[in-house]
Amino acid sequence: VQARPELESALAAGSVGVFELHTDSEHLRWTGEFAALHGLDPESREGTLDQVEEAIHSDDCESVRLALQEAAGGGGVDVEYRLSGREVRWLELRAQLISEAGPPALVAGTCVDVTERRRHEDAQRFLVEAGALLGSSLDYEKTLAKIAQLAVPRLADWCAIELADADGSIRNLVTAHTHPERVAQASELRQRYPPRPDDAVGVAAVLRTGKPELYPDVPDSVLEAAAHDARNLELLRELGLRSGVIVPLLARGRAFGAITLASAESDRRYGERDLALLEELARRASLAIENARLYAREREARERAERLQSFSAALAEAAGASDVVDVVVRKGLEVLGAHAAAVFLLTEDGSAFELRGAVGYAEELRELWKRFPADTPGPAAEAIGTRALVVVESPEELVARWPQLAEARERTGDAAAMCAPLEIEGRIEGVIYMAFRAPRSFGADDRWTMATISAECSHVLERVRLFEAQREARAEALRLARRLRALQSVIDATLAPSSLDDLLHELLRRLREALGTDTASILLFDEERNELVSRATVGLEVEIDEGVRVPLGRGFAGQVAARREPWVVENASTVEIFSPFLREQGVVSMAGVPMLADERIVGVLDVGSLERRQFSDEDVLLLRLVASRAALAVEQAVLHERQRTVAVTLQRSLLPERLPALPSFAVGARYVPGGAGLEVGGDWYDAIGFDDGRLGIVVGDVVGRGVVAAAAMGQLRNAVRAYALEGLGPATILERLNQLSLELGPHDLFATVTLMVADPRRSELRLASAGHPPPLLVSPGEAARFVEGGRSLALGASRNAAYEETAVRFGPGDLVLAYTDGLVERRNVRIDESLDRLRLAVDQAPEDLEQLLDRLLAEFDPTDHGDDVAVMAVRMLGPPSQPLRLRHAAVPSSLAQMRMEVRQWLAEVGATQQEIYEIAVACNEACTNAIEHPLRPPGSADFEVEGACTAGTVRLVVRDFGRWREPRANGDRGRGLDFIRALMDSVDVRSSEEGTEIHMQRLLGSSN
Amino acid sequence: LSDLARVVLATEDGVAVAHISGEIDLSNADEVLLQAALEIVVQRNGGQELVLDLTGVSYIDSAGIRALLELSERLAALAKGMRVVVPEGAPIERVLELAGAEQMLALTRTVDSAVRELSSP
Repeated sequence: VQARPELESALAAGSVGVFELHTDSEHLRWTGEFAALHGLDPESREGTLDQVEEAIHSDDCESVRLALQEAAGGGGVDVEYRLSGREVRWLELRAQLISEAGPPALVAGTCVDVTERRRHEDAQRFLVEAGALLGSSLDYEKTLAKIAQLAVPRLADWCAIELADADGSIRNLVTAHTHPERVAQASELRQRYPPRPDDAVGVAAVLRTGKPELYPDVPDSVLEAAAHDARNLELLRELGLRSGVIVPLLARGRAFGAITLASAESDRRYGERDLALLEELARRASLAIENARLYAREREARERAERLQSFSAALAEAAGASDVVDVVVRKGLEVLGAHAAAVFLLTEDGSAFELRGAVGYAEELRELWKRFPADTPGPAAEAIGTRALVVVESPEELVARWPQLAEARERTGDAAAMCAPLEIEGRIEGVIYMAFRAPRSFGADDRWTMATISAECSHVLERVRLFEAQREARAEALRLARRLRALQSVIDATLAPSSLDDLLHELLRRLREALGTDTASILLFDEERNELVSRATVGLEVEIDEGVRVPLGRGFAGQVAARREPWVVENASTVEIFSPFLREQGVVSMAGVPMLADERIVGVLDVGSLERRQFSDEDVLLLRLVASRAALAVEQAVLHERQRTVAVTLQRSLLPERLPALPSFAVGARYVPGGAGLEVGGDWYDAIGFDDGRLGIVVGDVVGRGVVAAAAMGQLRNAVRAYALEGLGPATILERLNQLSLELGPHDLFATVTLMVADPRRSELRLASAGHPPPLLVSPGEAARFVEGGRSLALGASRNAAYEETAVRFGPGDLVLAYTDGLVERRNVRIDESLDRLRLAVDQAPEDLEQLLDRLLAEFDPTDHGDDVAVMAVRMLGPPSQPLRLRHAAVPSSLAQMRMEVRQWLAEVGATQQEIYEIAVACNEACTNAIEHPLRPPGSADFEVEGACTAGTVRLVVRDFGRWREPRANGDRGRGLDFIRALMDSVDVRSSEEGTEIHMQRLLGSSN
Repeated sequence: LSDLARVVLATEDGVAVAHISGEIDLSNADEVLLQAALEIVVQRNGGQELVLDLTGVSYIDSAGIRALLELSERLAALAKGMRVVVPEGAPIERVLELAGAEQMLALTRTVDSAVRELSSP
């Protein structure tokens, strides 16, 4: 290995060494550059592979040899290797086979120094790894230590990190070196010669100036400048430092630490590039450290807050000042060797002392001193008066100075005492008194200790007072917050749309929760009877009977109403309670406020508590707020109810009071006001009976709501009646109605109507519709269908509207259903779906008209969507029938024939299948009786059945000609009669000498 | 037997089933039901139980119901079971209901279920 200058010249030239290798002989020929790169004799131009390998780092010889073998085998190779020697240098070798003709193989190649590149790559890799480390933890000291380990040996032989502590001292955080003994050497050096803040060079200087230092070389002059003394210089020299760099760790412009890299054994030289790298590392580390410090500070603050909190909690657990004082006093007792001590504090007005803590005194003495006038002569008063320590050294002195304490002294046994004033926040607030069993003279030490104890006691009391003030403030804030919440809650209650009862109950619930009372109730004023009536109550376990009446001026609520002022009663036994419930529940404290609206009394709101409590002004304020809110709601509800009643009454008055009873028709109708709203709608129905037996059917809907719509509806209804009785047909009536609608202004009157006239003689239904949903027609045994003809524009839509009329067959048993859109129109449901549903519902509905209508309203519940509904069903009962007259032999075999004839007749009068069946059963039972029971006179073994049907009512008489036997024991006859009663509307058995008649009747088209 | 009603006897799973159709009233009640019963008790040696299938009965009066109850009592006295089949929606359902027959007779909706009930131990 050759001397350094040659190597450096090779490097400076950036030169490329060239070589060729005879693989069989392992003989090389090389250029001067090759020799220089490897530190071989610069004059040599050839040598052996072994010679070259000597220059190569022992760890890398193998890989170089393998690479050359591979090249000899025919491949191009590229290998990087280190040279032997202290300083790490990297060479890159490229080689390949030159002669392929055959052995001996000739390999040629080049060599370049790539140390700088490798270092740069290492540095970058180091930065990346260091960055990852910095981000991985908030414990920056550990992180920095890791970074120092990372830097060695890749960047340096030494890496040290120092931190400037708050007091200006410099602390070594970490010193890293590959060999532990070297680390020990360095730390020893540092311990003996710690950096001094005013050092001209080195870490201290960098920390002071915030400027980095770069030493490509470390000449002795630098070491001399750094050394504190000769020995130090010697030790520094022993380190063998070759090069070094120091960069500051900066936060907000100030250096709080420094990173030092130094090379020794490796011979590495640091340059500007290394400095830049290290500065970058320092910058990143500074950021990370700053973050970590912020985090630590925050954590510390949090911990401090927690400690404070737990201290506060401990204070809070103490019953108060006396507990805390006790602790201080006990400590004083020990220190001074006193046998008893007490702390007295002045009352707020300074007129009296109150015992706040005592040790060593019997209970009775403590009781005696619990409170005494501040001017009572004695050590306490004197300490206050003089604002100085009072010392009593013997019983004689005590009695001499305060003769009136002689007796007390006997009881306490105090022989000597010290009493010091307690000064809190600059004011004398009390005294601390220490007593001793034996007379003694107090030295300066005793007096100083007493002063310390009194100061500590003052301090603790001050803390306690502060804490109590804080607690009070917090409690006040809590109360305020609770009140605000209660207010908010009451205000919010107005937002929920609900019934009056719901609202009142909700208000009471919230009020009760806010005030923490056991009961809350509202009584409303009944003006007519001059009484309060309980309307809503919460909180009583018994279900209160709302409707309890209280005369004005009587009882608690009655008096609140009479006085029209809030009234708070702390002890209910002193006043008259009218409500038996409150009395039974044992309400002790009560508060009540009047509910006023425009100065009128509307009711009373009261709350009650089963335990004695005081109601504050705030509580009453809340009560008044709730009361005014409730009063408003009650007023609104009353008004609303009144208006609604008017509207509904108007609406109802415009609907027919009763439907006409015509012999040929069964008629049923329903009207359901829309939703819970105030406004009534303009739906109506009407049935007009004509003299000739025809029936006019009207179902209409005036668009709009309220009184205007209802009035318009009334006009239309009357007009329809008038036109119909004139004898006009449906289409003509609609034409007239349309003209009328247009003239009725000023409001636009817009209405839909279905007009129908059912004619029993022609079995026909004539129909015209002005924009109205189609009526539904049901014939026995057939599916229901909508009548689609005869449809025209709605009334009021056009002056030129023409109205069509259609006629459909409408015979006995047929049913027609007309309705307003409120029955079928639903948001989000297509109208044809609704109509289909209606058709199915009617198909499946009971035949009885009333049941059918009930079923429809149940299924198409109109109350849940707010629109009103009118629906009308009419069934043709068939023409006035021929009366039925049958006479049969009174034998069982006649029954079948009789039934057949009765069924036929019932069908003729328009009875439904079910009605036919049931009436036939009834008749059969009556006939069975007529066959089985009579004691017949000879020649009268017949029975008769007579039937008649008028106005939809079937009347049957079954007659036999003998008196009935006594009924059989098991009561078959009874069962037969039960059948008849169950199946017919009325049954009447009339017996006479001639025979027995069973009269029975049933109204068709209704459930029996 | 009158023309009013018909009785067809069958055995299903060892259970005698009398399918009755037509109308039952005072004139034929005893006859119809007695016939069914006699068939069971006397003629069908294996027949211990009786199913009266009234599915086809379009009419029954109080006399018919009385006969049903009597038959039920007689069979019970002989320790024999009887089921009366009345399908849902049958024309005679209302009358049976009025008579309170559900409480006194073992009513079943289908012949199958009646047979199942009687044939299972």
